[in-house]
Amino acid sequence: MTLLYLALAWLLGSGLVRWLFPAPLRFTLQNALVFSLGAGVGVGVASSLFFLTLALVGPKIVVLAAVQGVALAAALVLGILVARHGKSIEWAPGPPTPWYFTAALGVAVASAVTMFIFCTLTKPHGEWDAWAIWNMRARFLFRGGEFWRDAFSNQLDWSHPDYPLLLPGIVAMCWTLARAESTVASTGVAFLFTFGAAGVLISTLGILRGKMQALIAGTLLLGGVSLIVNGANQYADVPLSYFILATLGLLCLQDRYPHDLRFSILAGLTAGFAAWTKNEGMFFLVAMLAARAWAITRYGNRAALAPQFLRLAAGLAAPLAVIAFFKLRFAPPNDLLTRQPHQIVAHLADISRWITVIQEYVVEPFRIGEYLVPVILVLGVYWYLVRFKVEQQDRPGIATILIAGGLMLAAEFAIYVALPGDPSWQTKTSFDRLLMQLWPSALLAFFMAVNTPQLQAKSKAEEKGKAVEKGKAAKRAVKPSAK
Amino acid sequence: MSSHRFAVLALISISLASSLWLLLDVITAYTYSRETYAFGVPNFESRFEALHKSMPPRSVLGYVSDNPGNNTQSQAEFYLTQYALAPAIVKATTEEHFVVANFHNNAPNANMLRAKNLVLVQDFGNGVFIYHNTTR
Repeated sequence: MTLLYLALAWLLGSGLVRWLFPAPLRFTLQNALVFSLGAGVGVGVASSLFFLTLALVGPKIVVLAAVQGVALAAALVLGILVARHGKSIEWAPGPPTPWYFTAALGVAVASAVTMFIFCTLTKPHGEWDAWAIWNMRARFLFRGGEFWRDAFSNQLDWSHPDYPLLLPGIVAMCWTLARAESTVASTGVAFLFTFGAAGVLISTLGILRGKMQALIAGTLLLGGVSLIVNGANQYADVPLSYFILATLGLLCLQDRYPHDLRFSILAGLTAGFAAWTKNEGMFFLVAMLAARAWAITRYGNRAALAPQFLRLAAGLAAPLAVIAFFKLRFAPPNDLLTRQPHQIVAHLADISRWITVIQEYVVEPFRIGEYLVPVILVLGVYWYLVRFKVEQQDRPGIATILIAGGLMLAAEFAIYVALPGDPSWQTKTSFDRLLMQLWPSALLAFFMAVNTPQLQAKSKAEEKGKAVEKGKAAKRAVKPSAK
Repeated sequence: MSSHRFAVLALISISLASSLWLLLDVITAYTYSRETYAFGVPNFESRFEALHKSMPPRSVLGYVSDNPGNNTQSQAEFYLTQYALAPAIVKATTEEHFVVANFHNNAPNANMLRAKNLVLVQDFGNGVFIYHNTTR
């Protein structure tokens, strides 16, 4: 039953996304994007509704079931009955894709799913942060009954009770409706986000750059061990990386379809859910807005800035309202913000803290993804051989990704240096996961910028045609001198 | 053309090799965890199950352990106790009316308990006890 309620949340999200991007119900690239985005949107909406119901009427299962049921029915009606509008989304044109790309992606998916299952069997409650923060909070919300607010008690300050509730909310919602506690809920959520991220990357790149780029990027993402293992360990960094990728991917699609502002609305919603997932999501939200404003002003059409930001704000409004309600009414102050200014100044003046953090910022990117070979070197060689070719229309999107990622890294750098704790321990235990939050989006930017590989020799007819053209041109060039 | 083919094949090969290599590691870790005593959440869940079932929905408990203080293992066991007993709140102090004990054997150090004014209320087995602090 627990999985059923999670599947219904996914259906809710897919209905809402399909309402924005209707397409015939068959296997298409557009539907792959719709269902990949539907996973995150559904979880975000369902967990927000769970929290609001709990906050406004208390732990009443009948009310909760009615609220979720009405939301699901409305999403399905909107998603099924909506008339098709706007341009349909197809694969970008490109050279024929050899069969072995599809086979490689199939092997990567099979290996990743198997790895996920074995990691889950080994640690069904997830790794440290998963049980000590996210699943423990879900237990308080579910088991606590009328005392569910104890989840945010100051006596649990070591478990960061101010952290937002997307993950505890969806897990507790599944348990409440199923009337039983099971690790299947948190595992299912982790599975949706881990493989949903791959779905978003592949479908977005398929639309923007074609099938071959999409399959290569998908194989590379799923081949990386850290996404799968951290996903199976139920770390919140994987859902956050999903929402970051979804937001930035939707903004890239916005640039490709500049008159269709539905992409910006949905990007606003997914950015809001990033902030509902982890406090770093709030950083991302600010960084994304700043990066987007700069990128459109620098590379895009400045007249598009106001309409796009209005749509982003429309999408953001609901999740931000839920976050504000939670932070102002229930969450205790963030432990990082309760430090005295003189402590921050002392840390900033300590050069050894800077050196420690810089060292980690230099070394850790070589371990990103935990591939057998440092993947940034492999991507460097790939770039050297295949080269970049950035189309004008893709520049604002790529710039948004790079600047937003850069701002997030800079903000985290400042936190490592200025705020409390041993920076060596903090960077060693968290910086790899911070990079993983940005890794799928970095792959999106890379494969948007890099040329599509030319794998096949040009056909004989093409070669012959070119030779004839060259011959004619040569004759035309020779004739005047013969006179 | 051949350089493009090399680039693509290298990228895909490294991705798949990395994935399959770690898959072997993960399967080995799983097999090992099945064959040996594994410290972790399921173990704590089963040890504290009886106590958890006997508690009212809202309680605040102190905590005592025979672990050496301030190391990662002690911290992890305290957090695991809290996770197992949620929604009770477990505090890292013995200055509460009731104190949950997480011991690694069934013969706790009587001198240490006496020094902390702790009197046994109930033994739940597997090194899990509830004590009463006589000064609270």
